[in-house]
Amino acid sequence: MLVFTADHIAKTFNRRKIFAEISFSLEKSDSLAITGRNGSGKSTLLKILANVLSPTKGEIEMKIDGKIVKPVDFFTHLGLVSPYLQLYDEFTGWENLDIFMKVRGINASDECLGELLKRVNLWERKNDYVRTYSSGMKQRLKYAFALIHKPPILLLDEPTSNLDAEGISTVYQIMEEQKKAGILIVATNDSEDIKKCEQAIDLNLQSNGGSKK
Amino acid sequence: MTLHLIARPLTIYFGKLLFNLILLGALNIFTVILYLLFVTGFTVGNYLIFSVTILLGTLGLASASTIIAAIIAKANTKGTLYPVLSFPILLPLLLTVINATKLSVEGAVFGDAVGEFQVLISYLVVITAISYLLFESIWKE
Repeated sequence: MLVFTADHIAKTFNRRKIFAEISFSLEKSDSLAITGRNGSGKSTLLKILANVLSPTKGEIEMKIDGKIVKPVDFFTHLGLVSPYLQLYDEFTGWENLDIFMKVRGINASDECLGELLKRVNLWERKNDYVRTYSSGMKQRLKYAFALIHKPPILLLDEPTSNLDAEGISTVYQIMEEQKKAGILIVATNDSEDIKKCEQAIDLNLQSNGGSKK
Repeated sequence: MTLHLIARPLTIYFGKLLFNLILLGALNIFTVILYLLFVTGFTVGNYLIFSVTILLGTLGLASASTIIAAIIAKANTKGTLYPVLSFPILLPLLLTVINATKLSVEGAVFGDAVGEFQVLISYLVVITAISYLLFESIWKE
């Protein structure tokens, strides 16, 4: 049983209010789209949900099988893909994933890593340095990074940015699989991305509670 | 940002502290060797005081540098901010280490340097404890 709850989340930078009173509760198989114009705080909200940033007010709670997960351990249960995520340019795609797996303490085989790279269509370029990757290829590698530990919660910020038609199709497939296996939260303004989610929050409306579409 | 998503804040802190310890330890040993080989008239009178000073100085410097680096990590002018912020924090450490080194070169007995070592140990404990308590907040904001 998986429950992910945001309770009256608010964020201010200095004295500027970004958003306030954001609340929702998601369970397994739920999906949520976070929408809003540029600067409305979509990425900030995702960072707060991932425990990368602290909210000014409110609390995030993650429960797995009835047990509350400490915020410092959120990273073990969620994956994040976002434009501000930086992978190591000095390493190859394979080395990046290998290092992240070792830091996370995952004992996955080379075959598992290979399958993941094939899934995001980077197998042929796995031994090339990330600095030689295009922006679309870096985006694909971020998906491999986010999925490496099979997280029950997947957070996607602008999920289809920089991707070609094939990449977008792969992302939609990943989103569909995530909806079956866990929770999917997407920050986007793309109408196609929004259609993939059952619930939506519009930050411009400062809505309270995930409104069912 | 990427590190936030793969490990606990304290794991990152102790990883960076360990790296700084190894780096500073290697640099200090290299510097001591160069001094002993090339600086004429430089002799150590009491090697025990000298060794303990090197050890405690390295631990204190690495500990303080790690937390200062974490504080300024998100600033735009890291190069300028680091010396400005670190100088007052490192000053007590540097003065004590200089005094202890002077005693070791003069060949003082170990008991004479105990006061200096107490200051160095206190500094190390205070800085490491503060870093342990504050790193998560510094890391997230």
